[in-house]
Amino acid sequence: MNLNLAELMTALHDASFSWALRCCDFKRDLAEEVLQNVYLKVLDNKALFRGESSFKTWLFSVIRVTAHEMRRSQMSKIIGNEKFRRMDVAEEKSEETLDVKALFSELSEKQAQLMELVFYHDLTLEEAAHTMGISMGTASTHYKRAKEILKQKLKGVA
Amino acid sequence: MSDNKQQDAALADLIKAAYKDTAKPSLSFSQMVAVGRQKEEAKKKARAWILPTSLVGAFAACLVVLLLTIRYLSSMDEAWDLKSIQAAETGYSNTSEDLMAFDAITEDPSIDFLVGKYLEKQNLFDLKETL
Repeated sequence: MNLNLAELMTALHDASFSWALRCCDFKRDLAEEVLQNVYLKVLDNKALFRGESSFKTWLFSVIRVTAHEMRRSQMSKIIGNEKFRRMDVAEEKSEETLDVKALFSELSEKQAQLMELVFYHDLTLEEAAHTMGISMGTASTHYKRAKEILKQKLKGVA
Repeated sequence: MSDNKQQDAALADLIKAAYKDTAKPSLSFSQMVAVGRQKEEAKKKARAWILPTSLVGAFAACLVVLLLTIRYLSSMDEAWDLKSIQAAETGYSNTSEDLMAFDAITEDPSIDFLVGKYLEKQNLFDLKETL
């Protein structure tokens, strides 16, 4: 096991999990599975860090791509399946999840992801764009629109 | 500008508060790696059965097709019988008597014998005697 990578991933474990949750539409079972796969990919050198960005940005990109792949394959397997129904029930029971969902309810998926990366994970807009695989221009547009919506919400809370 | 920064900070607080307890994983990093490895091993074991099972299935299917083909061909044996074909071509009906005649012809294919057999078949004994 690559100790250096393991240490870096241990330090980012909580943040990685919350990002995986966001990428898996807050399905905890799936998020854990995604993270397990990501860790194995990194430790077995199936995903190589080349130092072109910060480790956190790179790891979050790997999580996003893996979550996308797994969600696609999982959805085709479990639609109408008992497991799918159980996951939905577990999700409904989590009040915290509902809080987050309520907060981002008026944002698109991309906008919500961008807001989480910038305001929760403290990434710069450029790093967030890199993580999400979108251009800076697109990220900037999403950021401005999402911020306006959230500011209105903030006024409502205050 | 500072107003904007204040708003950003308030937004960050709002988002962090919303995520406060949501983002806690139930397993630690090392536990997740261990679980991931176990799942990978289980998948490898499951995958190891796919090839032998497919080969056995394919072999069984081939065997069934082969047996059915043999059965079908053996039921068609009479049609492939050379004597029957030749008898049909020479105008003989496919009776055992005719086949015996055919055997006799193959043993002695002289013209006299053949003419004799033909006339015998056509019930023209009288004509034979006349000839």
